[in-house]
Amino acid sequence: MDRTQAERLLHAAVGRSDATFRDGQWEAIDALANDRARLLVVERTGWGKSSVYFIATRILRDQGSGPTLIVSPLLALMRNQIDAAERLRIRAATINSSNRDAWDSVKQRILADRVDALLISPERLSNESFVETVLMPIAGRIGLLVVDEVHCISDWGHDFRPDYQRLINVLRQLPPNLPVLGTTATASNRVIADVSRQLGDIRVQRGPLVRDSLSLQTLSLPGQASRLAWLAQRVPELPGTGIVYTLTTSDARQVAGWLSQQGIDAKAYYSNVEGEGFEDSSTYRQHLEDQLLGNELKALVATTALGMGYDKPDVGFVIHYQVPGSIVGYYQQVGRAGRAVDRAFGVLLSGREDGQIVEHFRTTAFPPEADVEKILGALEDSDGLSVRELQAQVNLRQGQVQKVLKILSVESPAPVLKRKTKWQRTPVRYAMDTERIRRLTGQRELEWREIQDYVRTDGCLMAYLRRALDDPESPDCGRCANCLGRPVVDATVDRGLTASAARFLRRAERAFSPNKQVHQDAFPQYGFRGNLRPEVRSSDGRTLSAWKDAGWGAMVAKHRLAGRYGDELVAATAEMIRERWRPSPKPEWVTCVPSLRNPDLVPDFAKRLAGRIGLPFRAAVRKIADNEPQREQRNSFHQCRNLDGAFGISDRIRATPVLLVDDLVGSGWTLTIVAALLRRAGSGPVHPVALASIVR
Amino acid sequence: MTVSEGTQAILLLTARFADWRGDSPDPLTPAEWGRFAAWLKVRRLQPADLLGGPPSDLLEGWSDSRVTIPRVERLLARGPALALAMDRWLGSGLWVMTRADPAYPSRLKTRLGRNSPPVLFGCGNRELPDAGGIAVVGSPDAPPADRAYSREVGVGAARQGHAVISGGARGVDEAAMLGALESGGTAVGVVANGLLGRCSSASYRRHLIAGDLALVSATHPEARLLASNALQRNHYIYCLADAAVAVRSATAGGTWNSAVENLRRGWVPLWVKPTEDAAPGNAALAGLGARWAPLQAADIRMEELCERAALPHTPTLFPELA
Repeated sequence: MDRTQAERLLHAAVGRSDATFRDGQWEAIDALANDRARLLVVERTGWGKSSVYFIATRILRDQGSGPTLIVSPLLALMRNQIDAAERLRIRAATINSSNRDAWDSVKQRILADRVDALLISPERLSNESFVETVLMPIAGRIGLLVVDEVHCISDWGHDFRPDYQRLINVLRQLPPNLPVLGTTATASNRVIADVSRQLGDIRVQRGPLVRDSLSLQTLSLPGQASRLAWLAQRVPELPGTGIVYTLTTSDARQVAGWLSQQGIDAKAYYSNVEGEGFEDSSTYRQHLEDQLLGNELKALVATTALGMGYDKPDVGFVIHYQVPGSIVGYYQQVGRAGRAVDRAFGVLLSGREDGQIVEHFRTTAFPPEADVEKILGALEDSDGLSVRELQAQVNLRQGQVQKVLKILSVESPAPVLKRKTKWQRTPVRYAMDTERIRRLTGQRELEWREIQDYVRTDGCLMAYLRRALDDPESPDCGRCANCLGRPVVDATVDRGLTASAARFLRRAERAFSPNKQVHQDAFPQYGFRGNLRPEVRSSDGRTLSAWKDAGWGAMVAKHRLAGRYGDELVAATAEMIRERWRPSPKPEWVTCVPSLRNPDLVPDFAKRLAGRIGLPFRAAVRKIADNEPQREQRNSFHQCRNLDGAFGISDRIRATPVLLVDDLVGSGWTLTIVAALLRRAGSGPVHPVALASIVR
Repeated sequence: MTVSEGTQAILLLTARFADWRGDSPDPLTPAEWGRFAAWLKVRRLQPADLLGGPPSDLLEGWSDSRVTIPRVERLLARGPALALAMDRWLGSGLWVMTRADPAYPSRLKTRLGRNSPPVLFGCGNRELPDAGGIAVVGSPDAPPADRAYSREVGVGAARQGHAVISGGARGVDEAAMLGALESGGTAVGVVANGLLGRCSSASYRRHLIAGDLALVSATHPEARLLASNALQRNHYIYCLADAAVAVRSATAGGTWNSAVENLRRGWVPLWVKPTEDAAPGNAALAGLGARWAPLQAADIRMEELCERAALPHTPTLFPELA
C-alpha cells in the first residue's frame, strides 16, 4: 500500500476528496501496515490518531490480518470516530462493564470475523473472568494492537495507573510479530524514554503540542465561597460549553449543585456517578458525555474521570476549581479546550484546600506496609480467601483490602493471584519496593511545586506549559492573561453571590439509610443474623453536616474538641428537623447514644435539643461494655462485632416514636444496632439524627 | 520475567493458552513439532526467525500433510493470547522451559526422544527436574499403611541425598514428597493439570519459595484434567527418575499402565512394596519383572534401587519389543 492509495482511504474516512494527510499521519500508517512496526505517536488531541489506526486497520484487514484491538480509557468511540470507521467499512465493537449483555454476541461476531476493531478499557485487563471468557478466545486473532494514552504506563508520568501496569506487563510478553501503536497527547521526554524502554524497540514520532486559540489565566481565590461565586457569575459569560474540573467527587457534586441552583445547566461527572433512570454508572456517564458533546449542558463538573480521549472539538472553556497535582495533568485537561473554535479559555483557580487534597492523594497512593503485611500474612496460611473472608481476618476497610490486592496483583511477579473468587498467595518472594514508592512520592512532590510555580509565574502561561512538556518551541503566546497584562476573564467576585455561596456551603444536610444486613456470626450476644427484620429496622435518618466541611462541619469538629456542642448547633439541628426533615410518624420523645469515654457530650446536646423541640428526654440506652472505639473498626464485620453486647436498654420504654441522637455517624452501624435494640425493647419507630457524617 | 523470542515461537506453535479451543488450530503435538524442528534445523533456521516477518517466505519447501503452512501461520498469530497467558503465569512465579533450555531434563530427552514435551511449565527450583531421583508412585486412595511407607521412602531418600519424584496428588504422592521435604530433602512433582493452583497451595508454597521443590507440567497451568494428560504425566515421572517404587497398584488404571510401560521400555528399575493384603497389581508387576522392595521402607538403600542390574530383562513378556 503506497501513500496515494492510503490517501484515497483518508478521503473516504473524512468524507472529503481534497483531504490530505497531516504531518506524520502517512508515516505512522506506513510503519504499522507495511512494516508491522511498533510505534509511539506523541501528537496533540485532534491531530487524527484515530484516522491513523482506522486506515491501518483497513489495510491490514484487506491483507487478511485479524481485527484491531484498541485499549482505551474511553467508554465508547466518539461520534466522529464512529463516522470515520463506518466510512472505511470498519465494523467497530465495544466491550466494557456497561454492556455485559452484549459480550457474547460481540465475541461471536469477532470469532465469525465480522468485527474489524474492538475497543476495550484498560481495567478490563485486570478482570480475570473477562480475560478468560472474552479476551482469551479472541486473542488468537488480533492483527494490530492500539494503546491509547500510553503515557499512563510510565510511572514517571503524572497519571500512572495500576490498570496500565497490568497492560505493560502484558505488552512486555508480546512476541515481535504483532504491530503495536501507542498514542498520547502528553508526554515529557522522560516519559517518552520510559515508555519506549518498556515497550522495547519502538519508533517514536512526535509533533508540536500548541493550541492557538486558547487563552490561559490563573486566579487565586482562597475561599470556596468566593470561587463558587466567581463560577456562578463567569460561567454564563464564557463562550459555548465547557468543563469545570474539581479534585474530588464531593466537590464535583457540590459545585454542580451550586451552579444548578444558580440556574446554570451543570451536572456532576465522576467515576461512580449514578443517574436516575440509568442502568449503571457507565451508561449514565456516556449519557453525560453525549449531553456535553451535543451542547445540551453549559458545563460538566468533572473529576479526572472525564478523561483522556474525550475529544470534543468545540470546548469553549476549561476551568479548574482547584489546582491539580501536576502541570502535565493540567495541560492534558486544559488542552481539551479550543481545538476547532477561534476562542477558548483555560482558567486555573487556586484555593486554600488544594494542597491538602493533593497531599492526601500523594500519601494514600500506596497502601501502608503494615496493611500489605497483614493481608499477605492472612493469605500465607490458606489455600485462598475471598475478600469477605480476608476482612474477617484483618481489620481493614473493604476499600483498603481491595487497594492492597490491586496493587499487589499488578506487580510482576505478583505475590497474589485471583482465581475465580479467591485470592491466593503465589510462590513468589515479596518485599514492598519502598525505594520505588519513595521515588514516586518525591516525583509527585516535585510536580506539585512545579504547578505552584505556574500559578505564580508572571511569564507567558502557554510557554510555561510547553516548556514543562519538553516542547522544543515555546514562544510567548500573546493571548494569555500574563502576555496581555490583564485578565482574559473578569477576576472580580460579587459580594452578594459570595454570601449566598457561603450559605449554600453550610447546608450540607444529608439523609442516610440504616444498614439492613448484618455480618454472619458478628452478634452472638444480641443474636442478630442475616437481614434485620423490618420491625426492628431504623427509619431513614439525617445528618446536619459533613465532618469538618466548610459549613457546620467545621464547627462540629471544633466544639467536639472543646467538649461541648454549642447552642448554634442545637438551633441548626432543631431547624433542620422541624422545617426540612419533618420525620414521620412524629417523634414523641428523645434519647441518645451514650459513651463511656465521653459520658456527657452527646447526652448534654440531646437534652438541649429535646428542650428546643419541646419533647421529653429519656436516657433509655446505657453503655454496658467498654468496647474499642467504633472508628477504629475498618470493615463491616469488625464494626458489627465491636457492638455486640456494648449497649443495654432500660426496662421501661415508651412504645411511641423516638428521635435517636448521636454526634457523628460513620459506617452507621451504631445507630442501626441501637435502633434495633430500642425497637426490640418495645419502642415505636426510631428516627436517627446526627451532627455530622464522616465520609471516608 | 519474560521468555526469549525462541521460546515465544515454540510456545505459539506447541502450547495451549487456555482450555478454550475457539477457532485456532490445534497446537503441534510433540511428534509434529519434532518433525518441524528437525526441518528448521536443516534449513539453519531458528524458531525465533518465524517471528521476524511473514512465515510463508521462510517456509518455502516445507510440506507436511498435518503441519500445513496455514496452520503454522494461524498458530504464530496467537501473540496476544500468548502475552496474556505469560503475564498471568510468569507473573505468578511460574517458569517455562523448552527442549533447547540447558536445564531441560536430559533423562526426558534421552528416553522419550521426539516425544518428549516441547515445553515444560514449572515452578520452584528449575534445576531439580534434571537432577534425577527416586520416583514414588501409587494410588491416591492408598490405605494408611501405604501412605506411611511412602512417607518413609521420602524420608529415606532425603537422608541418603536423593530427590523424590512424584505426581503431587493426594495419598502416596503427597506422603512421599512431604516426607522428603520435611526431612530437608528435595522433591519434584509432575502434575497432569492445574499447576497454577497447586503452586499456590499452602502445603507446597513454602518449599517452592525455599527452592527445595519443583512442580512441573507439560500441560498449560490452568488446564482441566484429561485422562490422556494423566497418563502422559505418569510416563514423565518414570522418565525423570533413576529408579521407581510402586507402593500400591491395581491391575488396571494409571499406576498399572505406566508401571507396565516402564517395564516394556526399560526406563528405570521398578521396585514394588510387599503388601500384606496382596494388592493384586504389586504381585503382577513383580511377575512382569519388577523387584520386591524391602518390607520396611527404612531398610531401603536408594543406591541399590538405581543400579542398572535391577533393570527388568523381560523381552519374552513383550515380544513386540524383542
